[in-house]
Amino acid sequence: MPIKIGIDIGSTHTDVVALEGKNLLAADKVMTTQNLTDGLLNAITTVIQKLGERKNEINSLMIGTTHGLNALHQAKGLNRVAIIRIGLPAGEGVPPTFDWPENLNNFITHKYMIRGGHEYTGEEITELDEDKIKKIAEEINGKTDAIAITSIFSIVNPDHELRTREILKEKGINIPIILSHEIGGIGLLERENSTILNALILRIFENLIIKIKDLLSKLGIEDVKIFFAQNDGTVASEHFIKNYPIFTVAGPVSNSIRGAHLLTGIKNAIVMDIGGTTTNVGVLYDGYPRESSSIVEIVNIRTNFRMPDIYTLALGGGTVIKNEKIGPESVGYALTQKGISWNGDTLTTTDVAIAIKRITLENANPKLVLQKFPTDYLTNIYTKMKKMWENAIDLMKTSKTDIQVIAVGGGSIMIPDKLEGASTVIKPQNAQYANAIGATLTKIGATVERTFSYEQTSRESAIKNIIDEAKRIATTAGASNNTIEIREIEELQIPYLPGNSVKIKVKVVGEFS
Amino acid sequence: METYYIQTKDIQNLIIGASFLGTGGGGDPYIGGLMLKRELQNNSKKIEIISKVNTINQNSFVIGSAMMGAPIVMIEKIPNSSETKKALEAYSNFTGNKIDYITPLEMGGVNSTIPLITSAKTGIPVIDGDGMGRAFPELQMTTFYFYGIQPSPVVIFDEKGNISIVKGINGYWSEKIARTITVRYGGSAYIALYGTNIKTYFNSAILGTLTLALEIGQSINDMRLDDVLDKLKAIILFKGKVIDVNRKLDKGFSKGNVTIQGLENNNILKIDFQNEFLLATINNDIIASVPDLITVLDLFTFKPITTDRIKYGQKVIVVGIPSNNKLRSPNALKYIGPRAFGYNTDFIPLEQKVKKIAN
Repeated sequence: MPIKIGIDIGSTHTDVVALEGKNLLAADKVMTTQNLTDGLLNAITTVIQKLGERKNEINSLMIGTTHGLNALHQAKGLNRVAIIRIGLPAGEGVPPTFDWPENLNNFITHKYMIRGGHEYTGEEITELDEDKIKKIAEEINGKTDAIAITSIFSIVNPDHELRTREILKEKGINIPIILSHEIGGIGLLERENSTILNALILRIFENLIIKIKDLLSKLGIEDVKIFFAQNDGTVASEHFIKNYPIFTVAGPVSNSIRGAHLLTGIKNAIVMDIGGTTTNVGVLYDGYPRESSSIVEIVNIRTNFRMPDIYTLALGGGTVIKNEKIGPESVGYALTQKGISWNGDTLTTTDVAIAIKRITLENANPKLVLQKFPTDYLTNIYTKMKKMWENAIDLMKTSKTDIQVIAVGGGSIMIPDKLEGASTVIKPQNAQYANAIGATLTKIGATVERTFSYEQTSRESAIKNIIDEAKRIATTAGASNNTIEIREIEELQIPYLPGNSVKIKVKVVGEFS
Repeated sequence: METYYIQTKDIQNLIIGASFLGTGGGGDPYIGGLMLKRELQNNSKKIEIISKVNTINQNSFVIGSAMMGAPIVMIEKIPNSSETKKALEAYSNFTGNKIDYITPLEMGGVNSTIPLITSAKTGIPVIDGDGMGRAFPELQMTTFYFYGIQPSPVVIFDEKGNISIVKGINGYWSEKIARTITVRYGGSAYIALYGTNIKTYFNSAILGTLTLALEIGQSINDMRLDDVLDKLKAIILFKGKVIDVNRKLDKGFSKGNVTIQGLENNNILKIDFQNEFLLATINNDIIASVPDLITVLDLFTFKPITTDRIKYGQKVIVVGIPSNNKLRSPNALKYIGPRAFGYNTDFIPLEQKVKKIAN
């Protein structure tokens, strides 16, 4: 059976696993580096060295990374982007990137609003201004790295976005051109923002993929397929992500939820991913992360991505305890130098947990904690930690009845065996590598959102249409066509519009081709 | 005459206050807020809000300015922001009336921001008041109408420059025809309507609602819910967790109901909605209904939750707010009482009903 490598980049550790089927061959944690890439490359090197001669059996590499988010946060290494919005005379009221943070706006080289776009029915608002597009091609040629195009109601009718790209190419534009209908759903500003953010980080992923491939060839490995974890808990091929890297920004969070499912086989549960500085609490819903219903902002910019519904608690394995106060500071990766159990000078949550629970950890000595602090004090702190996790469970669960809780991540050893609100607390074997395992074993997926009028398109053919499109995208992302199954169909009617106007969202998943 | 000039810092408060009074509907005022912010940054005119009215010339002419249609179209087909100004100009040209003041039609959702944008474009002051004190779905559902003012002539304008003028024989027909035109325009349009002299206006309007929305928004943004409740004589009806949301397609309206389970007890609160929250029952006993306001807030942030965003698992506070007396007259209830929305029940003021439950 071929070997799969899974890597998850966390804020303190980069986890890496090698799996043969579901059998864990090797696992490791390396330090996450400031630039993320070095840590990632180290992790790949480490696991491949551990595999020895079996390295030639590796056929794929799955990566969950916050490279995209990181680059946007730091506003470094981004593409210069030109923006074209199609829709005049509508749309002028709020111009593109209005209200964006300045450090990101600095990367925008040109902003155009041109005539065109469609009504919700799919009819043209006005004819597309093709002459203007030709002029734009002349103006931006050589002066920008990527182009983001958004047209009003392109999720009903993408013709003007497609035609604009065609004209730009005819006029010799030879840089990436991203069309909004391929990125997001309804909501012009949110979809446009998502498209621009995607264009900004294209180069980051292009460079990352080149570096990974270089390393693999240096390590003497050929024919390895590279995949990236996506926001919805599925993965997509490097070829797909090279064009749509924005779909990876929440990949690591989704991985831990998928990992919890894959390690336990449980389909519905609360998942607690306890890392070095935080506990991310999410919900496993039918095997995938439950999505958030609130508006998702990335670096203070509104987008319309579907992101996992996550509650973050400032409570991780390295969280610092001062008197009665737990956190929010954390010693992070320095736990094994600073923690009391390791002869350090800082009392951390891990020290408390291992002292109270009498757990043995590599090189850690709980007695050092018990010598320094009274048991009553430690018990009190541990009770407070328990209460914090219990509150988080109560926040996330969807009914009064108790629910199964799965604890994963490096800090999961701290969790009590019983929690209020939890029917059972499960700590699966290899829980500390759940994220990387989640990335490795998950499926290829695609999510598409469109609007239709059932008076113009029958419900049957509308749904078939959108399923076909989702399947086509999943195939592009690396899924084998005959394994694709529909995970979810969501239909939402649009108020105040006649003709049974609806918004449909479809999610499909499939096996690797 | 007391005046206030809208500033950028007011926008966030206005948006939250408008969502609060929007009772789950009225559309997301986010885009309206951004448009307003842009007007304040551009070379637009100052937006003057007039609260005290003693010295206004009794012959002054006031007009309502609003967006009509599907909010979801507006978030996709964003206005070019001069539509409502042009609708006003068309109104003047058609009727010969010089326009002295602008009034909001509804103080809830996106239409709370639109009149301010009209003012920034025209320099015409906005009166601190409206015809609903909340959001309602149809043109005739205003206190202006209940006091005998006709919406027509209704000028309907779109971003392409199309102008229609509707003179309906009554509010019902004006609504019906204007909505058909709006659909032909592409699902969203910008309207000028309910033109009247200032004396009739003050007689019929619900006053102070624009500054009320600003105050509510400020309190919510500062997490001072108690202040809001005091100010509005509002009552917390329920605290609980959403355990079910049903939605159905019905003649283009987003209809449905939400089931909320008590946090501290096993009581069940159900709310029916049709764009806005309309009727709340606890264990099948009606405790609040239109025209009283039912608002659902996030338990932790106190931010209002709209009917299209309410979802399984959310922890919420349900607030009941007594509506203005102008919405509770027998004539008003014909248009906006429970029966007008298809319920076989009479309106019982919230404060009477909730007292009963307490007993």
